Amino acid sequence: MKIIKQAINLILVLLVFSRVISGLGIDLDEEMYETRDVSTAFRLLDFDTYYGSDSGLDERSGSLHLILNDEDLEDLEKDSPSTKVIIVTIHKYLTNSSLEIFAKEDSKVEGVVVLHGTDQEGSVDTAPDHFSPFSKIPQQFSGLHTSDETTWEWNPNSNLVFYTKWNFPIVYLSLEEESSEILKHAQENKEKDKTKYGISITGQMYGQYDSKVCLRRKYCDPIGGKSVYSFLGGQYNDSKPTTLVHCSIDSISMFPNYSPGYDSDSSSIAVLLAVFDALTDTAKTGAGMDWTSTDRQIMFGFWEGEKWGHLGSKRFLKEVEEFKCTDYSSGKKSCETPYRYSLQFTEIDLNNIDESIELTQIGLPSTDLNAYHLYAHVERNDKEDESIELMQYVDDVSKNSSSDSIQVTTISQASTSTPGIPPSSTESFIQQNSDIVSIVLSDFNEHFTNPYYGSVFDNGDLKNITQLVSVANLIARTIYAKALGITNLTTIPLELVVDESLLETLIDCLVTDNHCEFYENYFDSEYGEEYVTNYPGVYSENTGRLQSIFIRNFLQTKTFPASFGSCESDSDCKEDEDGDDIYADCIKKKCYKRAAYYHQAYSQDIEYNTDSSKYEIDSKASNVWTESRWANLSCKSFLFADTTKDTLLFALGLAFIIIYYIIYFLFRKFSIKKFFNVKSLKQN
Amino acid sequence: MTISRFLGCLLISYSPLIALFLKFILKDSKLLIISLSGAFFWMLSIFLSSILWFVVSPWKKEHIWTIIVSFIFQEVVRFLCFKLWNKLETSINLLSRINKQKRKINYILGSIACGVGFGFGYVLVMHTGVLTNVIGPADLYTTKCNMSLFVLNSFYAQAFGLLNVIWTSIMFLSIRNYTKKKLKGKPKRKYLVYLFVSIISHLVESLILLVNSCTASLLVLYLILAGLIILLVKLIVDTMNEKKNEYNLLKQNQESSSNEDKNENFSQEINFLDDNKSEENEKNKTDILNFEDEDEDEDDDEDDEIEKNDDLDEEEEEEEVN
Repeated sequence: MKIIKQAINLILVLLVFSRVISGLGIDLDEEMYETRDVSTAFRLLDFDTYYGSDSGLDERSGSLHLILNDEDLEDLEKDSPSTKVIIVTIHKYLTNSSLEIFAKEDSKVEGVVVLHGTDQEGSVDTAPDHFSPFSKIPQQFSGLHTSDETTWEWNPNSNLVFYTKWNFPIVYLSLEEESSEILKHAQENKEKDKTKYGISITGQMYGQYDSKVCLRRKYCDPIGGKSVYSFLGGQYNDSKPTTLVHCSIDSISMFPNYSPGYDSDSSSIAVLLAVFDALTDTAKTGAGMDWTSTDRQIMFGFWEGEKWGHLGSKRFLKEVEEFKCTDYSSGKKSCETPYRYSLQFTEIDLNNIDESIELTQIGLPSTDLNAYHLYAHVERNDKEDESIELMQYVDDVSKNSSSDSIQVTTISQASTSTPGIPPSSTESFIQQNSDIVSIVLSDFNEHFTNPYYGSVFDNGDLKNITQLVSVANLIARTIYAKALGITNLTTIPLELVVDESLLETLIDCLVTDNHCEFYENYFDSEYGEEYVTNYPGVYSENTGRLQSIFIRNFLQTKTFPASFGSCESDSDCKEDEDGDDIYADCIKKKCYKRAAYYHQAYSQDIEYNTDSSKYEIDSKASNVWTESRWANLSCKSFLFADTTKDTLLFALGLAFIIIYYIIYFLFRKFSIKKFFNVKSLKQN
Repeated sequence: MTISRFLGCLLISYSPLIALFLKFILKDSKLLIISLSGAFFWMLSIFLSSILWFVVSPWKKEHIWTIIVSFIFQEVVRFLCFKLWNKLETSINLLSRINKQKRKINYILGSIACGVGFGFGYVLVMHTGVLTNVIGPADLYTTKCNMSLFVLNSFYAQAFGLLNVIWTSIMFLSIRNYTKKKLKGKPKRKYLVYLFVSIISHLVESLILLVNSCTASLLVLYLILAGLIILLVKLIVDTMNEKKNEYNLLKQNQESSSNEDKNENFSQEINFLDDNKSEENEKNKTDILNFEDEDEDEDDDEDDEIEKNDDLDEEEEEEEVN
């Protein structure tokens, strides 16, 4: 009975205690934890599998462990650390072999932090000689030469680290930002024995299995964006032969938020925009230049999502041929379902696009800096000879221009050992119409010369403005000659050269700085982060990437510089000053007549089903890339607790209770003895 | 960090209090109530001092004034508890006599229970509140001390928990002995000295916390604690001796004259020495010099015997009453 009463007393006490404690906690999170800004690596899903890293449901924490050279890696392999660790390393060790060491069961690795940039002391060299995580044959499954037919490795530098899945998070840390303290902490961890700094990373990726399953379950979204195209002169004529001058506008890297893509392909965008600027400048082309009255029409194309299976070009070609609108807007000016703000593309006659000149990876000069050179690739099909003729035409323009002392690149045909054109948007056009005459211009011959293809290091450190100016001059003059059908190439105006400062500014804005001053001419407000990423991102009907919007605004304002009226959105620009219906868009609060068009870019093999609110994959699809949905990434740094002695502490606590109990017991015995002079009370 | 660190620190900080709790306080529900109300009153003192801290903004950065103010509030509330305890004691003993329970509250145990309450409140607020952050991968660590601050703080909290018990006991006993009506003699000044020493030691130990050292101040803390234990023991011995003297004097008075009226003046003071049943008095002389509770017989080394003894004693008491 007594025990029960005592037990009840004890339980009541504990209840009160726990209730009080739950309300009493003082939050020391601010003193103990410091949030860090990091970017996570991807999780991308393909048709039958997924790739990438994931932190899982729990927070992954560990003490920082620095690996900067081979010895560190060997040490880690030999003796696994005593506590959980998070590796801090450089891109050189972002390889499958190192990551396998990290992923071993007893390695206690909870995550990887990859450093980039230079720290203030310059003690850590983060840039490897080469780093390319993506395929050795890019865009293999959507290109002309599928894996069955060719094994030509355009990108032999690749370490294929993209194509693996890891069950720990891999995050990216730029040393130029405040978070570079993490490097200092990791270095201190190496020196001392006791205090360890640690970080914790949480960032769960929801997508599992593959694209089919996760689209069905809505754990991922298809990759896509907006392509842009425009006709020089601003009017489309469906009976004129058309030369297509184009490039792709997206790039890739292991860390989607940091994907500058200078060589591939922002340099091409900058060149083409500078060319467009020169061609629409009457001071350079001559006062009477009217692009709508030329013999040949010039079409500029900027395709989005090319690296993920030729998304932009293939969908464009598909919809030009067969587009069904289920729900037109009033006046049939645009389509509501699926959303296409402009239906101009339905008027295009693909048979008239009989020539194509594409720029890809034109930003790196050859080793001989005095001679700027490009290689022209042609496809080995029926039109090979005509393509070579096209190449020679460009070559003639080059020779003519250089004899007039204009800076241009030289052209030569690429090596015949390659299977044909490199991975490019032209592949889609040839697939659609094998009669097209095409050349692809690039700075590489047989294999990519860019050691950093598809990585965060393709950031313009290796840029050469003179190379770009040379390419741009050549392209501008070639287009001029082509459009007017000139045979006497000396009649190309000497003033037709591109603006070098414009080219530099474009490179800066497209590769380095989203908040550059130049953009203020084309945007009302600043968008996004300062760092540039050319990763297309998830497809959305209404919005597009900053670069897509910029390209459209640039082309449109160059074609029809005269604006009319003021506006807040596109819907305010439906009528011009005379009150007639017009196609126009609102750019920086002014209406500009429409001259450049968006086209939604996403996989041709999926369509959005509004009834089920899901994307459905076509049964004949071979390759659909999707991006996993993710929980917010968070990273905190703190002093890492040494938990090896914790059970000892618990035992110590119990021991103290027993000690004190014994002390009281003895005290009592002693006092009884002293006061009552009896050994125990029982005797009485 | 692991749960075992949390529990370890918790146990270390509460260990003297838990041991006292298990040994003495759980046996008697009255003591339990006293200790919980002691905790409540201590929290009240901290609450008042925190209001003052909140209101007077210059103090927010200077810790010394906060410490002194909270010290003043704690001592004042301790004194108030003493007053309350005095008032309650007579009615509780009256209640137990009415209910024909032999158990009365032993004075010393009562003061210890109140001290346990105070200590409990202290450790709860000062240490356990902060300790809730120990669950998680991070740590509060200093290289100077080479140990986690949570662990260090738990030792400080342990010392202060025990100290609170001692301060409360010393205050209660010394004031009681000083103000108690005596059959003969004057109240001794030394009790005031004891009281003064205990209060000053509280101030000193609180101020030691301002010193940013690791184990050195902890050592000083424990040294003062040892000194105070000796003081407490001395005080208890003095109390017991006084009781002995009082009892002897009472006996003498009883023998010398049969005038019980005189004794009745003191009966309220020493009623805990006396039980209504004189027969029982003779039988259980130990009741008179009642250092420990009457559950003495039952509380033996082996827990197994406790139950049997309890039942036996209850039966015995019932028999005797009947």
